[in-house]
Amino acid sequence: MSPVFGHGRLRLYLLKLLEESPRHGYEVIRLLQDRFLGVYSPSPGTIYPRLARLEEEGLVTHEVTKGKKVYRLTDAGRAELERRMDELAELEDELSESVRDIAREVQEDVRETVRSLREELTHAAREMRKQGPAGATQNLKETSQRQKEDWQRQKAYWKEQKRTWKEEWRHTWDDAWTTATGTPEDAARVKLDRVLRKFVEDVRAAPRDGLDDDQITQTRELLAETFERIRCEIFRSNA
Amino acid sequence: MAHWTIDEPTKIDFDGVVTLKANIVAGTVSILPTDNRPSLQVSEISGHPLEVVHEAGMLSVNQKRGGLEGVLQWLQNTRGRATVTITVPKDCPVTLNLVTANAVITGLSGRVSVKTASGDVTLDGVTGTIDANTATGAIEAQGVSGSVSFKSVSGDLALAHGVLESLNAHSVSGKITTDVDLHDEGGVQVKTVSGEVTMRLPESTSAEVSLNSVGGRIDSAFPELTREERAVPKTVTGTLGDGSASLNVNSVSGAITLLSRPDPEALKQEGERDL
Repeated sequence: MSPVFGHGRLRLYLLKLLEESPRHGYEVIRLLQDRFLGVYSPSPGTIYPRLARLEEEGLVTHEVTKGKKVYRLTDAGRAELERRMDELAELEDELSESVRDIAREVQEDVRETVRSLREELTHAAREMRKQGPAGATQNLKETSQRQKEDWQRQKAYWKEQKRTWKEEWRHTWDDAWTTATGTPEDAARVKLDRVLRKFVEDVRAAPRDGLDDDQITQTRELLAETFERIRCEIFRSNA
Repeated sequence: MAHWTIDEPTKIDFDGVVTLKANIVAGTVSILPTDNRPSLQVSEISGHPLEVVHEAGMLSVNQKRGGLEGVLQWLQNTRGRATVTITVPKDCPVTLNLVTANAVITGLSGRVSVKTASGDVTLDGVTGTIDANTATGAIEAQGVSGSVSFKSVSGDLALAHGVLESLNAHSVSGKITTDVDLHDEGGVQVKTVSGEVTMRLPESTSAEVSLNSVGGRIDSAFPELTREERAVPKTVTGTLGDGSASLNVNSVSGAITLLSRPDPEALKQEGERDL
């Protein structure tokens, strides 16, 4: 299972890509890369087997043109896509949101760079006036090191953000798939999972000024209390 | 010709876009590159609908404000805004007119021409010619590699990381801050009235330098430049390296600061020595 598309979602998106136009495998991979603006880079090992399976199921067929396999949708494939139009719309909304997120990240990244640049230059200018040109250069060597560290930290932050998005996407699509195809109880459990996950994220982000053992102990006690209450009052089960 | 009037969140694809022109009054517009079908996505819209026209490859997006009626309606409906994301081919030239809207433009190599009143413009990896005009909005760019032309009243310009072929910046009180490399035969011409100018260049830059200010102080980290205090304007001039590029900064009362940074090679060697 690829990290970005939940189970079944990748197949759906492949059908959609082939509905737009018959394509060969390499094109499909490139399109996926484009639409995710590089955040998701599918490997041939992920795409080709799926295309082969879609073919086994009769949703897709291929012709060999100029030595390359060109895949296209069959009528059955088209019908399948029709059937799952809503799911596809949801998937596309998810993709659009992520594109917007990227734009926002870029804006913040550049703003941050410029802000720290201004600080650095102001500082360097001040140093230079105090110590003369040599002082400023020395100071710059030090701040260059700091700047390198800043860049690395930003890169790491960016990588972490991407990882978090991919996780979130996977969750959201797994959930949507279960909701669409599972029993009502499955769907409800999915919602419960989501509630719990949000809780965990919120609590994780809560500590502002560090975290000490005392706080952790208190949190644990409060959580145990809350769990008891949920179990007895809401789910009505007895120990 | 295709025409849309958008008054709710929508996504549209286009066959081919060769130029983009957008007039956005309020909200946010993001312009990103794509190798795929160009698209336009409105994720939020209130107040005036967006008019989109696609004809012969020319895409034009307008937050409608036609005529006197339009203006009066705008004055009443000041909360109208649109959040628009447009993806275009990397080499597509873009013309953007903003009033209070902010813009983010990334990864384009065609000409980018932006006019803004108070909206901020952020450019990342825009490697072609940049032409920016602002009244009070800030222009911040990272990773430039072409010619930049900047006119401002009080909006600041900041350029971080990149290689300038030329910079032509005029500002009244807007600050000019740059930390970029200068192309071998690059030309930098900066004029401000009271705006501070702070520029950092690699130690190895080759340029004819002339920094002039009537009332502002001038500081330079390059020992090769000589200061002439008794003249009016005060000047710091000289030749760095073999003087192939040119750097001219003129200000009436703004301070001018020219800093230097060690070349990446020198830094690397230092780093290795420290290990």
